[in-house]
Amino acid sequence: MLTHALIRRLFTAGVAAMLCLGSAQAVVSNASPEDFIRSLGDEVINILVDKSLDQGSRETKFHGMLVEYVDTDTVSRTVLGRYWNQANDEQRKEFQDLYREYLIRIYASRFSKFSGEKFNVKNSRTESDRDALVISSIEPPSGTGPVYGVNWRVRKTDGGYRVVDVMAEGVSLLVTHNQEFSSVIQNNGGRVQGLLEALRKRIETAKAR
Amino acid sequence: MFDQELGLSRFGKAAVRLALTLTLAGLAAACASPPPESDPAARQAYYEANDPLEPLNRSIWAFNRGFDTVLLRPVATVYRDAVPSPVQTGVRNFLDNLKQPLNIANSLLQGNPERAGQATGRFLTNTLVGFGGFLEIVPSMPKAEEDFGQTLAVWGAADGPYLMLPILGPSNPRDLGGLIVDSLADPFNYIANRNDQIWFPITRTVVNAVDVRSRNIKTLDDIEAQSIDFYAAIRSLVRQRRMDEIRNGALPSDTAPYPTVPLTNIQNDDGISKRSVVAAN
Repeated sequence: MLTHALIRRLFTAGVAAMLCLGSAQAVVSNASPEDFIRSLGDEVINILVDKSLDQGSRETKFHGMLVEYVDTDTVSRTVLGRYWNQANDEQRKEFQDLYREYLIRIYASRFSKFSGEKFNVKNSRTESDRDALVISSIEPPSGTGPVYGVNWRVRKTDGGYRVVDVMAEGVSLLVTHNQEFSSVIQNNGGRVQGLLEALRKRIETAKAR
Repeated sequence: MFDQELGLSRFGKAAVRLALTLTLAGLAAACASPPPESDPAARQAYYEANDPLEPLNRSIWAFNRGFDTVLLRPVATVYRDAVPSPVQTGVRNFLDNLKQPLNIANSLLQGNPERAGQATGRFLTNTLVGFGGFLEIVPSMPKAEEDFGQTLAVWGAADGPYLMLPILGPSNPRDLGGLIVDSLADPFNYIANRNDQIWFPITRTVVNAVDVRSRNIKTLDDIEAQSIDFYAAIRSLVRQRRMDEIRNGALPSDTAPYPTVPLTNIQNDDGISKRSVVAAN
């Protein structure tokens, strides 16, 4: 009899503890950059494994994710770098739209083949009062290739966390695009318009494939 | 001279001098002059790119791509698709194992005896028990092997301007010097050369090139398809990868200026965008 009562009490306490933990975890997932990146990873994998999606609807979903998870405003300004100040409002707007589409075309096509990679979020490092670097790795099914280190620079904004850069094996997307685009602008006589045309052309060829 | 400060070997000095001479010759022959001071944006871009030989480098790049399209890529594709994968793995293990003496020496020169010890144990086991390294008894270390270019970097040498080498690809004076020192110091090449077995270093270089290319077909195709300036994208990627190799994959220090590009602030109230360097604080 005593044991029954004890078990019941323990059970109640356990459920209560679980409920508490549950709510605590919900708060934590809002508070930690690691959990933010974890949910990003889960969502990407869900899109990739969903066989019912064709390439078009997959790209639509990635577009939604880009808006939800990435601080596209900061990213596009930083990628354009010093040329942001040179560009007029119309060019800025056009660059932001083109760059967003360029990212989706490029990475949606790259991610369309998923072969059971594992996404592990390890830890994070504080970079400044609002930025953190989240350390993660992508692990192919055992023995099929090397493990890739992927780090995410995450910024705390009013609307929650947002990604501002991705670094794969030490290569930053932001730095690479900044330097590449700077070269394109310089080879077009320092005109931002030259970059916009090149981006538009690249998006067209990606569509045609 | 800085080579004395670096405490280079005689070979090292000769190699660095050769690299410098080549660079100077190249500079004299095909140097793009910096943009005029009246165009500060172009000037800043010019110094940031650190590629004063860009016109020459781009034509060598075009030549290399032609060579790749006509010869290297087709051979590497056949190698990847037709050679049984256990053979490919064996060849790769063998080539990796040949690099170990240099990896060990450079680990020591970089003040990393632990890494050198691990590499020594691995080299001996794989050579003696793994049929000269064809079988990998002890698996490879996760990050890239050390070379003399990395050693120079650890000693504080800057990479210098971007150099596109014919056939060999992207480099810089520091890594070219390192490459020359490594190829002179490599014990297997040294023994083969002394015994007039010149086929050995040549075969090794060719097979290595095919092996490396065969593992990068997809990656390079992707980068080419994604980029709007393939040359500039590769220049940026190669430099960032090299930095990562020099750090042995460790995170850059959090005080390092990141990411050489300021992460811009959101517009302030009167609509004027203000820029701030986040990592500098």
